[in-house]
Amino acid sequence: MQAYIIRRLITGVFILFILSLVVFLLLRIAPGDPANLRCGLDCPPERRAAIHAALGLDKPYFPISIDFTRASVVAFSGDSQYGSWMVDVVTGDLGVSTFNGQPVLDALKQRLPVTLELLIITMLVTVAAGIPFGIISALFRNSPPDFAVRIVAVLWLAVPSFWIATLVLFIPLELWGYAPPLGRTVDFFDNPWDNLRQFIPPAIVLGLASAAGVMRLTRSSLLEVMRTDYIRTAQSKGLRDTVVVGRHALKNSLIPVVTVIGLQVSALLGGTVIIEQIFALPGLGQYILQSLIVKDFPVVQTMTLYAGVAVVLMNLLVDISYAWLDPRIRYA
Amino acid sequence: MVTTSYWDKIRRQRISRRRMLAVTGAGAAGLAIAAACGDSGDDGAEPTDDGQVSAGTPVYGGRMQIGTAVNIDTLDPHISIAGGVAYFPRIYNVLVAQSAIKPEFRFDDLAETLEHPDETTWIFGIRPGVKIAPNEMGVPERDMDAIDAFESFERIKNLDQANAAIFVNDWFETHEASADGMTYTVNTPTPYAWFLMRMGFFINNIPPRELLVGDLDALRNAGVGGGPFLVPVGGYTEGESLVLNKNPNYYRTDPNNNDAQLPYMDGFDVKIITDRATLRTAFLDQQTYSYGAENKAEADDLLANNDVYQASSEPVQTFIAVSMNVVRPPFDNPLIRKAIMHSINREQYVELVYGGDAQANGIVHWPQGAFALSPEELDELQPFDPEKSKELIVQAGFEVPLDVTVMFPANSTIEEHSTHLPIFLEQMEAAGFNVTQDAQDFGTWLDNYTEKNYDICLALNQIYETPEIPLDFHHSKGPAGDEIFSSGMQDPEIDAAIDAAKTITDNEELVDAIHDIQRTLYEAGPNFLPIVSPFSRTLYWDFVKNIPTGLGAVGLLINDWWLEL
Repeated sequence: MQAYIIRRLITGVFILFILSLVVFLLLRIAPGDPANLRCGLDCPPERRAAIHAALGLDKPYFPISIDFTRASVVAFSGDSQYGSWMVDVVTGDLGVSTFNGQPVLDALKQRLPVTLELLIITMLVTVAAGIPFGIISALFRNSPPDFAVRIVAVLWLAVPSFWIATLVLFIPLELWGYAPPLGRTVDFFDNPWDNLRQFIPPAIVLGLASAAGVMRLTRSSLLEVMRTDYIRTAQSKGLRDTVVVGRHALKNSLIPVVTVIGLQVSALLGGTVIIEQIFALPGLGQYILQSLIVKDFPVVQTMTLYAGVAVVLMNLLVDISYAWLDPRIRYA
Repeated sequence: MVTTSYWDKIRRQRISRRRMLAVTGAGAAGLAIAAACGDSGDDGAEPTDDGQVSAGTPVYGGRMQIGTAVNIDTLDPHISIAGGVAYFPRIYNVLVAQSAIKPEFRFDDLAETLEHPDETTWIFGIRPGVKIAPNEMGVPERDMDAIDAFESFERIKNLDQANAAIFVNDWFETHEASADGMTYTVNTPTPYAWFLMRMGFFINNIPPRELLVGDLDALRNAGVGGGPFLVPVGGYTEGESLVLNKNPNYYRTDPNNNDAQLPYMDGFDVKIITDRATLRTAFLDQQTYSYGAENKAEADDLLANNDVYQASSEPVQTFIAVSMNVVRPPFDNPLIRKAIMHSINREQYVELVYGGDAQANGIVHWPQGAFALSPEELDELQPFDPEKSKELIVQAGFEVPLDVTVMFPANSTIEEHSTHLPIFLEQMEAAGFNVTQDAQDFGTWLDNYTEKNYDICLALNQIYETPEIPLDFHHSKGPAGDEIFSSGMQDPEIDAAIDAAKTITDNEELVDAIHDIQRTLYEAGPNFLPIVSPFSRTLYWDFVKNIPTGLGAVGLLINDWWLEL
């Protein structure tokens, strides 16, 4: 297992390297000069050049460049944009936002807890709603409860979460004059009630959409397992249904479900961009969106890399959890 | 108070600022928020009759809750380009400020007097007793003085990133503070019509000099000065909130309330809420006390269904404009530019985009008051006449329909742009143009717009508080004076007329000159056409008292409003 984890981590580092190259290049290939966004349309060339220099955008992209037009095919630059960024990342210096001059690490420390709390509650909602209703749907197949659960699931999958989010704000306000606290994050340890009032509505909006997918997968996976020989054997032995399902069927049926839940984390990271915006939660999603608009290269690069790390680690955890769920699985 | 007649002459001028704060719509929204936070009152300077939504007996206490869609980039008042600009006048002082909306209203802040002995010399007499707030930033509780002003403008001059760097470098030939710190003198290289207005703009705020040296963290993340409020250490959370607390040392008192110490409110709690629906929800739920309605219809709807709201309205200095590239065919042909001019039915924008709550613009937009041409004259100079457009196209030697490519940003966060675009395209088609749409990512659009890489396009929310920049778009050197962004009309006579107007310091003469330039531009086929400018509609809960109308951003400097919670 240890060797497997090390191999996966090495692969993960390679993936992150490729990701860093892609995001670095995409940001620079895409038209739009951060200096123009910073300086405005009446920005004189010398001021634009000064901003480029201040942002490090006057340096070459890479430490090594190939010059096909000259005899010397390889040129080396000790100070390049990508090289500086990588050195900073490796040494734990995530750079400084070009929009507001704030160290990205400080922003990360400030905003990560917000997104993390939102993701944790969202995952709880996903699991708490998706798996039980999937089981109910499977066990009562083609019955009214099954139809009801499936219709609701399709509905949640079909309706865009930003629209539901807006309704979640408007409807309680219209009906009961209630709205969650907006615009400033309340720390859980300072005021748990207000904190949960802030986080539960967006978590429900995000979580129910992913729960719908989990529910459908749980249902189909459980139905498939319930048709297998060993389940029939268990039923033939006279075991109670709860034991058959709970002890024998469910655990095996959860393997694909766990995979999907793991992948949901990366999808939810994307979902937080809109939901944080609507519920005025100053998390990483909002940060990335705002930074993209103003072409804040250090922030977008670092946040993308951070998201990549999260996805790589989550996938690793999912793979490791297979062995726990199904003892037959061995990692050589 | 010593003033020259110049003070009285300057009546229809504005604080000049030309910034494309389009990154997040910051300019328009920032100033809208600024207006939303504005208040009324008068000052030891020369109080004027401000419209007020409501008043009564002032009470102390309470914290104003504000929601803003504009993120704050930094609290450094000299380099901020986003939401912070709306709060600097509540923290720091300017020398003087003049209302962009109501030019006869001016506010003498740090400067108590002004002498203008010749056309290039400006002597500001510093007001004694503008005392810095108690703070944790190590700035002593002393009076602000001329040395603070000198150091502040010196920093702006030498800081490439400073918003006013171009202004100070171009127009400060010399500047000095007297040894006693009570007089600050600026000499301009030539007479400059817009000098005083630009001096008063909020990118020229004056922080205490202690904040301008060494580690600038305090300046970036907090703020203290001689203004009515301060941002305490830890009061600013990036992307989330801003806290302003009362300055107990603030120099102003309320002459309408037995010279009671101002401000009345204990502070502001500013929350950054970027989604409009969420801003509205926060307002309706009383989590914020003001809300900038999207348009009159929304404001009217909210007012009709709730008797606990009140509204305030201001002319808005922003507008969407049509920009034509005169170095590219067919827009190098003045007849084609005139054809575009005749294709624009501004009434349709007024009705469809703003529900009647806007007015048609000429080359200088109507909120510029006397500098703008009258509606009647504009009707004659730029009539909507699609048939005339088609005639002009033929006259120019082209066939109808004429193929043109219209560039625009596909993902603008500026609401007005997306509402203007379909109308503009439809009107062009109706006037004999066959439009190819060139929708671009915002960054791409901005690059191409800056580099003049387009034929014709919609220019996003322009914000000009003097006629200077709208006219500079027609100058061959463009608004930045370096041929970047706009190639202007390429007409030496027009260039000379625009340059000459900048040196006119007699106001009536200046107004006439600005009018004449516009008429000449209409003759020549203008390349930059502002469409319409609207009114803002800001709603407040009814316990917010003494809200101003008609002062615009300058209302931010006056802090005699209160809360009856």
